[in-house]
Parts: sequence; structure tokens; C-alpha cells
Amino acid sequence: MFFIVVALISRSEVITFMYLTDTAPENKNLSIPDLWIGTFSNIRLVMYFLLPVSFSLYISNFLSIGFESTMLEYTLLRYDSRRHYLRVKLSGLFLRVVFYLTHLSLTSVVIWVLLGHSFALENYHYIFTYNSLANIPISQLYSVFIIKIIAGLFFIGVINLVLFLVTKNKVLPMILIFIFSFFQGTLYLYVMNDVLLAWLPFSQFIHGTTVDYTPFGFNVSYYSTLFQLSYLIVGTALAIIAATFLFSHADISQDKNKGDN
Amino acid sequence: MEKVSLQNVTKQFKNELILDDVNLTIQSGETVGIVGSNGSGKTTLLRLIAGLSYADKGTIVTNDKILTPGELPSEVGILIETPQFFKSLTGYDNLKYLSRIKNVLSDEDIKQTLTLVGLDPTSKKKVSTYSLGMRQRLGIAQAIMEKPTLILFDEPTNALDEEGAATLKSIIVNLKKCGTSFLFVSHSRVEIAELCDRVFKISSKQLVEIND
Ligand SMILES: Nc1ncnc2c1ncn2[C@@H]1O[C@H](COP(=O)(O)OP(=O)(O)OP(=O)(O)O)[C@@H](O)[C@H]1O
Ligand SMILES: [Mg+2]
Repeated sequence: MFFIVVALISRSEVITFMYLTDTAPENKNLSIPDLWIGTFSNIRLVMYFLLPVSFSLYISNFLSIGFESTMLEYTLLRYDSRRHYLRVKLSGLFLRVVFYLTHLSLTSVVIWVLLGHSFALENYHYIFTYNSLANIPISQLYSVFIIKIIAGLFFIGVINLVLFLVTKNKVLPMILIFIFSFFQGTLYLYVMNDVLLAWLPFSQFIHGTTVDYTPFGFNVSYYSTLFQLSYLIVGTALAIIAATFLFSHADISQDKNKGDN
Repeated sequence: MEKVSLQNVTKQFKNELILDDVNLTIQSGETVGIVGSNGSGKTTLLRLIAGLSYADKGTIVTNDKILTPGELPSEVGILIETPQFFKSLTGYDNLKYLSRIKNVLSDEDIKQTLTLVGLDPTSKKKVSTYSLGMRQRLGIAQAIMEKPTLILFDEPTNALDEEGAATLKSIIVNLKKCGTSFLFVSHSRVEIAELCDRVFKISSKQLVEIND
């Protein structure tokens, strides 16, 4: 259901953005590749806000499943160590990232087709325009996008896991991600090219995808795809270390007040 | 061979000291009982041995593994107080979910375990509709199904009817014959005395052996 909402909102976001930047084709419909690339490079609402929040919602059940009292005890005693258990959880999380991206893309394509867009060969989105000027193979463009989105979502997933382990609550991580995304999205409106923004966690998986495309990109001198990927890898590693530490030292005890799951 | 060895174990929650300098060893094939009043730390002791909680001081070795933070003992079955499961699944599906982790049981093994504890393996009843005693039986099935060499039972006869208690007793007697070690925890000494080789009492935060 929320995939449909995301598909609708991102469509209107892309159209608004292209209209504002005067890159929208006159009297012509946008193609589906335009909308897809537009969605995953949209800073204003989609990537800063909708993606982290909807992904957080998407995985909240998965993160907390099996953490119900006594079920976790039975589960853990079947593993070699708590690290082992976390590793399995993290691989599940990675799969969720892939499912989410596939699921979201397919739903969006269906919605966009229903709204009259087609896979027309002509593309108007500035990333495509830039790309054909620079002679970058189109498959490379897509691969880079997909790798960055997966790395970014996995990072957000691990942050969610850490928040879940700290709060021991299923809903609170979502609320925190919501507030943070909202804060970052609002901040963007005021300090568009600020260094601070380049260092915030949810900027990472988006600005790197636009940074190559000046004048639309993000103008901080050291900011590049390499910076972005290093940030995501180091950030994910740190978050995994934090999760391991928290979980290894946690007292797994029954919550006597909560009988139901 | 020692299944469990606790040396100078101290555990406190915030500033409340629960166990103070506790020592205990359980040999392979031995059955040990622990009694104590409510809140004396019986369940806490079981959690420590299972690696679900860690000692503030002292060493715990369970099945040859030193339990430092993050480590879990192998081949240990546990049943702690009121067992909880995935409520929207059947008893069989819950056991199936747990068995996938080690992946050593066949579907037939799971069904046999369910029958052994007196539950119907073909029942489509969800755990949410189970009675307390049925949940307890499912908890026992979960603890014994992979034939661990050490089983930790926290008041296993909770909510069981007479027939259930008798079934449990015969399961334990059979497993003992196969060399399984047990640690029982209960507030009633009568309940566990006949099954145990040794019985301890938690009194003023320490373990004291009871000799008759
Ligand atoms: N996670 C926890 N945080 C803080 N205190 C705890 C925690 N778990 C147990 N305690 C405290 O430790 C003490 C011992 O608890 P424990 O559950 O081990 O008692 P018990 O002997 O099993 O009691 P019962 O017979 O009622 O089952 C109690 O005072 C309890 O309040
Ligand atoms: Mg207890």
C-alpha cells in the first residue's frame, strides 16, 4: 500500500522538479526511466524523507520478530554465539533491502504505466542528458544507482537495528527516523550546499548520485562518489560494531509485564 | 566431565545484589535441583548458565564453553517460567521455526516430540488459543526436541495437570537414562527431590547443599 503512495508522490515530485528546473519536455509525457532515475535522485522529498521512513516501516516487523520474550531465549540457545545470531539477522536485512527496492520499483512502474507513462526511448531527465553527453554506458548508470541505493538503505537498516536494540521498542526507531528525516529534509531547504548536510547520514545515498551532475549536484569540494561510498561503508561498519556490542552485553530477560507479542 | 561449573559468581541488578560468590558444578549425567523462595535468584542463576545474562564477577563454564559476554553454550535446552511463542502460529509451526536454526530434526522428529509431551501434532490450533498447561507442554517440547545434553528447567510443572506432571516425569527419567544432565529450579522441594541427585537451596544469596 505505501509503495503506491511513494510511487504517486515521487512521480509528482519528479515532474515538479523538472518543471522548476525548466527541463521538462513540453507537451510530452515523461518516460518511466525518467521517473525512476528522478525518484532515486530526488533530494527534496523522496530520498530525504519518504525512502528512509518507508524503509524503516517496511523492516520494523522483521527487526523485532523473534525478539518476543522467551522466543528469543529459545532462538539464541540454538546459535553458537550472539554474534552468529546478529550475522543471520543482518543477512536477512540485506535481503529485505533488495526486496524493498524491487518491490518499490515494480509497484511504481505499474502505477506509472496506469497513469499513461511508457518506456519511450527518449529521456528528458537531466541525468540522462548528462550521461549521453559524457558517453557513460547506460548500464553503468543504472548499476551505480542501484549499488548506492542498496548501500544507503542497508546503512539505514543497521541504524534502525541499533535504535531497536537501544530502545527495545518496535515503534520508537521509526519515530526517530521520521523525526531525523524530517529535520534533515527541512534543513536542506535552508542550507542547500552546506558542509553539515554532506555529513548527515541520509544525505549520503542521495548526493553521491547527483554530485557528478553539476549544476544540479552538491557543491562541497571533497564530495564525490568515493567519499559517499567510504562514508556508507565506514558508517555501516561502525553501526554493526555498535549493534554487536549492545547485543552481546544485553541481559536477555523476560518482560513480565508484556504477555503478548 | 563437568557440564556446568560456576566459580565465585556474583550477579547484581543495578545496586541490588542477587547472587554473592556462588559455586556449583554439575557432572555429566547428574541431576541437580535448586530451591529458594520467590525472588531469591533461581531464574537468574539459570539465565547465567544459559548465557542469557552475564555474571558481574566469577567464571561460568557451560558445556566446555566459558561464557564471556556474547558467548552462548551449545547443546543446552531451556524452559524458563511462562513460555511464550509466536501466537499466530500452531505449536508445530513454532517448533518448526526453531528447528530450522540447527536444522538437525526431521518433520517426523518434531511430530514425535509433540506426541511425547501430549500435544496433537496435526492440530491446527494456534498458540493464542492454547491453555496455560498446553503452552507449558509446548515449552517442554521445545527444550527437549534436539536432545541437548544439558536441560535447564525452571518450574517445569507449572500449570501442568497430574497427567502432564506424570508425563514430564517419565520423559525426564528416560532422558536421564540417555545421560542427559538436568538442572531443576523450583520453590517446592517436594516436587523435585525424588528426581534429583543433589539439591541446593539459595539462602542469603548463596547456594547451600541440602543433606537429608
Ligand atoms: N532484569 C532484571 N532487572 C532487575 N532486576 C531483576 C531482573 N531480573 C530479576 N531481577 C531481580 O532479581 C531477583 C531474583 O529474581 P529471580 O527471577 O531470579 O527470582 P526467582 O527465584 O526465580 O523467583 P520466583 O520463585 O518468583 O520465580 C528479584 O528481586 C528480581 O526483582
Ligand atoms: Mg523464577
